[in-house]
Amino acid sequence: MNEQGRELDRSAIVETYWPQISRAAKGYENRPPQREELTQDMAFALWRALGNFAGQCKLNTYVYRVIHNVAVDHIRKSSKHNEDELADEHAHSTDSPEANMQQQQKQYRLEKAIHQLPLSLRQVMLLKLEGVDTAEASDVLGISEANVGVRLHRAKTLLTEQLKENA
Amino acid sequence: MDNQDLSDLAQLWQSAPTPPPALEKCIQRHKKQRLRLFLSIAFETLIMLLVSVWFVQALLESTPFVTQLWLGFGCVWGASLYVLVNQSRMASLSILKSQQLSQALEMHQQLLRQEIWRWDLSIKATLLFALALVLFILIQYIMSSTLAAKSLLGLLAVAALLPVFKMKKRRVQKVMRTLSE
Repeated sequence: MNEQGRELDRSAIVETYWPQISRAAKGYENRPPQREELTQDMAFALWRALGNFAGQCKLNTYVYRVIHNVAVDHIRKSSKHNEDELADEHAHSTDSPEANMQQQQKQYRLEKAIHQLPLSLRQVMLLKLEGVDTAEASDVLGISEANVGVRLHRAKTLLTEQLKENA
Repeated sequence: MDNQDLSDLAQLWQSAPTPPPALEKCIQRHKKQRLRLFLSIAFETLIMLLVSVWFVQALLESTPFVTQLWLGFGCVWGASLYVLVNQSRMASLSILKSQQLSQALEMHQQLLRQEIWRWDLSIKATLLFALALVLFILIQYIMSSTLAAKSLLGLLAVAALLPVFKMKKRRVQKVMRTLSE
């Protein structure tokens, strides 16, 4: 494949995974401007990392590794910013029809509950919500399948509690 | 929560609206970030060189001792931080984005430990410098019974830096806790 073809491929893959990238950013960052930046950082890192992809694992696994790695990088770098400027834009959005409002409120509650999970549990939960199976999640995270199972169980318990509290 | 509940949540999670792809914007943003990083390094290097030249000049000429002390402190402290920050930058850039998360987390924690150490170093260096300034002011007072306003102002400025460094250190420790959860 020539250089231009590879370039197009990489761009096409990033665009295909854009919804997953955007949702992962939402799972890690609840301030809208920083979330957009994180989405862009994830997309760019993926685009660049795809240049080194040689089938060492499944493409899906590779993509999730890259985007979650960028998220961890983002958390570390957030020590340089003020973390107390949390946004609640969903809670106040009133510009949608009533039917959508309920759905949006549910999504917002889920998002909020996910943010309250400790990082190790949040990572497993975010992968599960994207439909990633246990074996693949274990490969993305670099932990055993049994450990993924334990973390998922704890994440589910905590998430249920948070969802009840946020209801 | 059973499998059905999790599946319903996954459906809800995936049904959230997402913005349209904007890869070109990401590439442009990255170019700007690289330029900013390059300019920051160039600016820091220039400042370091200027302060070093100023310090050497102060040593060669008959500059007041307090000025020499200030410049010496600025030089040693600045050079130490310059080296450490750039080492950390290099390490941060070299973390492979495609590796398994458990390995990456360990490296990020290592970088955070280094950052905590850097703030610790800044706090201790500032305290040491403040102590030297207090001694200098006291000696000056004993010898001439006058308090140099410049030295007192300097001491105040150094004292004001301490809470800033402590706050920075606390913030990094908080991030460290998040990554260790």
